[in-house]
Amino acid sequence: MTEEELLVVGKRLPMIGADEKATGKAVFTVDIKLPGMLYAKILRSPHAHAKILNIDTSKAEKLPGVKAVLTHKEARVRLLDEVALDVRVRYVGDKVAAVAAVSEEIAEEALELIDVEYEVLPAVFDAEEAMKPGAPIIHPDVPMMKDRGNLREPIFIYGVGDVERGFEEADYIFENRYITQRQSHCSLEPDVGVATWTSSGKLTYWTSAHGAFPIRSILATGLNMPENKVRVIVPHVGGGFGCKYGRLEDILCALLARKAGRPVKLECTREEEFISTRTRSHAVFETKTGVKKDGTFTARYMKAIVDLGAFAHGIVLPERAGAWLMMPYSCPNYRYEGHAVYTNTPSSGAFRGFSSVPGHFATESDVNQIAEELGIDPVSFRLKNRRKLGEMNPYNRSPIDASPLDECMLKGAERIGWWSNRRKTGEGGSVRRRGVGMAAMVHHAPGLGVGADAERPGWEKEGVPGVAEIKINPDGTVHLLIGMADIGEGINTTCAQIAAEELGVHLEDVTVISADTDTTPWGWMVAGSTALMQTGGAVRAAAAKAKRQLFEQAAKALNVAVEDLVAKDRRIYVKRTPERGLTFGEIVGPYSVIVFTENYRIPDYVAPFGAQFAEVEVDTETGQVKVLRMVAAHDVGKAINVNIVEGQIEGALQNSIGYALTETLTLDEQTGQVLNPNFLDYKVLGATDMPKIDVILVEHISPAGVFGAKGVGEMGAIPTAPAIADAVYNAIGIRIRELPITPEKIVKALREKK
Amino acid sequence: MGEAASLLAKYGDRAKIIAGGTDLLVEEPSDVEYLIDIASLPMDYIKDNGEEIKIGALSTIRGIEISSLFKQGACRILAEAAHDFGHASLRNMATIGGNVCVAVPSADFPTVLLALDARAKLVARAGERTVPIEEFFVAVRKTVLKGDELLVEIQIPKPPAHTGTAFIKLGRTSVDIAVVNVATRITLRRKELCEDARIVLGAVAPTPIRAKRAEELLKGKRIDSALIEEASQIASEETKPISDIRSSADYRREMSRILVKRALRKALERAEEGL
Amino acid sequence: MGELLVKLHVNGEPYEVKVKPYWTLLHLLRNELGLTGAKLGCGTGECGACTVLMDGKAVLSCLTLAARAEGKKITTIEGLATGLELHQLQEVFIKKGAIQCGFCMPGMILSAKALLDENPNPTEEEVRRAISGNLCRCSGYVKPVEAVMEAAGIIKEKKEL
Repeated sequence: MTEEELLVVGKRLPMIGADEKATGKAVFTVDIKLPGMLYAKILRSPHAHAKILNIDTSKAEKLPGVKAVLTHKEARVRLLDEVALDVRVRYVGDKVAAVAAVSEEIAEEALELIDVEYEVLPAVFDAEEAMKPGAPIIHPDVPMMKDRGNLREPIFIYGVGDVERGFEEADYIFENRYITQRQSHCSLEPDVGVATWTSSGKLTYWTSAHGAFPIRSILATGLNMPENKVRVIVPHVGGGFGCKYGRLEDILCALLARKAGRPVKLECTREEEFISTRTRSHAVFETKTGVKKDGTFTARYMKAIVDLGAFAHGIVLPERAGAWLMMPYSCPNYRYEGHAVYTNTPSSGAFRGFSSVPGHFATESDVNQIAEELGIDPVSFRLKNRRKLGEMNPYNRSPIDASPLDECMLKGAERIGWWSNRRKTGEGGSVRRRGVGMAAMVHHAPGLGVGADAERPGWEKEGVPGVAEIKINPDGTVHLLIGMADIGEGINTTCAQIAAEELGVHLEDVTVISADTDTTPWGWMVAGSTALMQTGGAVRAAAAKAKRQLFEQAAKALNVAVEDLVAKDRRIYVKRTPERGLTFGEIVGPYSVIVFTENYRIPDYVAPFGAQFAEVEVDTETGQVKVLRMVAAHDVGKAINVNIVEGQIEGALQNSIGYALTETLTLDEQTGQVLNPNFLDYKVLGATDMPKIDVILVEHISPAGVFGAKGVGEMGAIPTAPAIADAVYNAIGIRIRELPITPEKIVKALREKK
Repeated sequence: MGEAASLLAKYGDRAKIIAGGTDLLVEEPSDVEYLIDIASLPMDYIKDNGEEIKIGALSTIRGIEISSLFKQGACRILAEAAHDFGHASLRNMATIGGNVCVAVPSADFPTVLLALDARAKLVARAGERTVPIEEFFVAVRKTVLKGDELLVEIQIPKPPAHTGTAFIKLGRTSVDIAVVNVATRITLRRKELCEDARIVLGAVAPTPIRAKRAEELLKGKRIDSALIEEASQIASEETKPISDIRSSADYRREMSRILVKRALRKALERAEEGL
Repeated sequence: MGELLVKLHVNGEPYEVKVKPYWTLLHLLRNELGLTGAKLGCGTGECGACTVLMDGKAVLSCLTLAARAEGKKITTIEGLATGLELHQLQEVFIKKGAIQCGFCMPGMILSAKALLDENPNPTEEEVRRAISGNLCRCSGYVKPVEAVMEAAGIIKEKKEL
């Protein structure tokens, strides 16, 4: 099928289910109300680090309307290194007890009646402090590096060549230190679950989550139950962005429901979302780079100190950040050291651009500084240094093609007027100064495999499959069943498009059912920019098999060879004599269906590249940075649905401009408490804060992706912060190396410059 | 209004007045048992009787934003403050009375009203009194309202000719409460010669404050860039800002200077229109 | 604690409901009347997911007491379409790909309706201002703003016909 012949794929088509959302009929987990349903609340620790010496729930249990109470005596379940409920609390907000009652008010009242005796322990809130010998140990049972406090074993070390020799060969050495902050997902729908049991021991659990099957796995393991007795349904989800991969609260909700013998809903308040769900890690990066006068790299070293928070749900960042250091640019010597450190702060975890976003701020800011100081234009510098065809990716030791980066950079540069607008830095003299900046990116895709991932259980193993089931109905219409969840990213629609294209039917002929562990095939989570490539690939393969069977039956009926047939517009007909054909319904017949299921694994990792350009105006008196324009040029392989692909990049920019300028979860330095657990003081961008956005879709067909597609969920979030930092530099001649770039930091830096 | 006052008297500290509810339902003070809903009282009006402008305490921020009386002239800073207030649905609900009575340092209307020499009309069962806005604010979330008193109206005297005003609010994003807000008023006797001045700052002290030393510097003088710079510097020294989650004290002090400078320039420009 | 009897109209239908004095309008709509289109996103008036129209004006139902709805005409997202026929705004939001997860959309679409009812010819800046209290984490506001502008044009055209 050539490009011109695509009828459904590659178009702007409305999302399936959008009408339900536009009319308020779409049911989200928060909307679910079952007869007799109870409301659960969690008692949370006021201390950052403490032992629970005694917990007395007797008064709470006697409160009329309270139907179940859990403490560590009744519930101790584990997820990675986190246990709930534990005899120890490790951050302000950690779970202490759980209550289910007939109303939210009574549940809240019950929490206040629970008496807890704590032995407060010394706490530590900064990763570098937490690595010192003598720091209070947060996980005595987890192996730590000797005499390094809360630094987990191992330190992730990998690279290629010999950086020390590379530094000796350099003409110039650059050393920098960068700090990136905690960022909260702020999904509009909070974390929530509804659990109900039958008397025969079957659990049904509705939840706002990234996937149904991973949650089923967590519940089955935690409750020690067989998977066929746990049904997880993911209805419409109000946003995820990495937040909702499954938590111990899911198990607690189920346990409360079982104890009470009634359905239970456990819904986070917005405040709980901020203090107790996972954040993007706070991280410190120290870089050392050696270059020759002509801009060739001789050595690049990066040390990452990643604050895991109280639990290790965010371990992938320190593990994998070095991949993005090494991947885009040629250099014979690389070394990465990733440190994963516990502190008594909210646990970190996945967040759009998980292992890429924080490190890119360091590595791309480095590249921009080095280019400038060598007198080389930052775009030209990257064109020169990006890996050539035939080079090996040192992270997974397979070939890498960085050429799509060129088109992204050149198209983006042209669109923003880079060559004329990148004037000499710091010029102007007026109070408000403008500048342009840019940065490049590379990111994860399925098939990345090897390296540190292969040794670690629980996370994405090499080649998590996509699975899809196609059913052709007697009348020729199609049901498509996938285990993947549609949380707004549109996987239902893109998979329907793929099925329709492959089969030769219309989009409205395909009905999609997803994310129900009792009825749909297995699916992973919406994560790592993998959903479309994994599940979409399975859809296409299953559809191809179904089509093959249709062809075989049609060939017999029409007395031709299979090769003589083509499927288009709901018919299968003879290529040379199109009037000779049959509709799908005529082939399938009134009493049968055609069913095919496919397990699909991506053959290769194909890196998605991209570049973003920012134009900013800095008010040098107030320090305010106004982003006037963002140009985002991303290699998406093939845009299956153009609206969806653009929407992903546009939405990611809201997250990442906030990351660059306004968003930071702030903790009290003395107590570890979150100081801004609300939208008043955790500033996310609204419609009047956003710049003009230009999305350029570059389509370098990926040999590994369905119809050539690459995963676009995260790419838009990755180069934004360094691009904006570079634009600020171009405007005022100062490089800010700590995020977010607030007005106070700019005013302070300008004052120091004088 | 009498009923409201009676209820206030009856329940004392256990009751609170609710108008727009946009602060009360967020703060949810735990000691409040009764809410006295005054939304249906006839206090939503904006009138100009020639000598002064009277704004009913229940006038919504949206109403002030679009009022034809505030499109130009010295009172335009009321519309400008309304324009920068929260977002559309919040402006539909919140009232000027609420913004004044809640008396948080970051509130915008106290700053503006202080620059306009406004007065607050308070009504109780025993009678009524009018308090200059400057005396209305006592401390954070504390006003002179006592017993069964209800704020019913804001009165703004017509400013003299050749008066220009300006209002600037600094927030972290475009929808925000003020990190610092400033309102200025300059009355000219003739071009550049200042007859009277007001420089008011909010969010830099427990209540909105007039930078009186800075004001004195301007009175009777020819206003030029250098004088504006000096006045701004002195104004910033008159502030008592704190460091909190939104900003450091240092930044607030420095921004006081910048905003006063910009607001004085703008007020001067506006005062000069027609001279 | 006593209950209050509140008479109100929601989406053109009259209701007489007993409410607890501390209930918000959001609670009344979602939990008592089963109209779950309006959402609880923050409870403090910052996110706009609870936006409904009260006598035609956009208000935050999480900061409105249920008792305050006495005598008022409330429009929720469920009341925008006429039976199964969508309002122009809903059609264009769907067509333009402005809806992703959809959680913020009931509030945002109603804010947009309030704007167009008052100002049928808004500039892009006016559209952004009208939805500045509706937080969206998915769309970057790009396609929603385009959708409101386009819907405004279509509505105007239809009126002129």
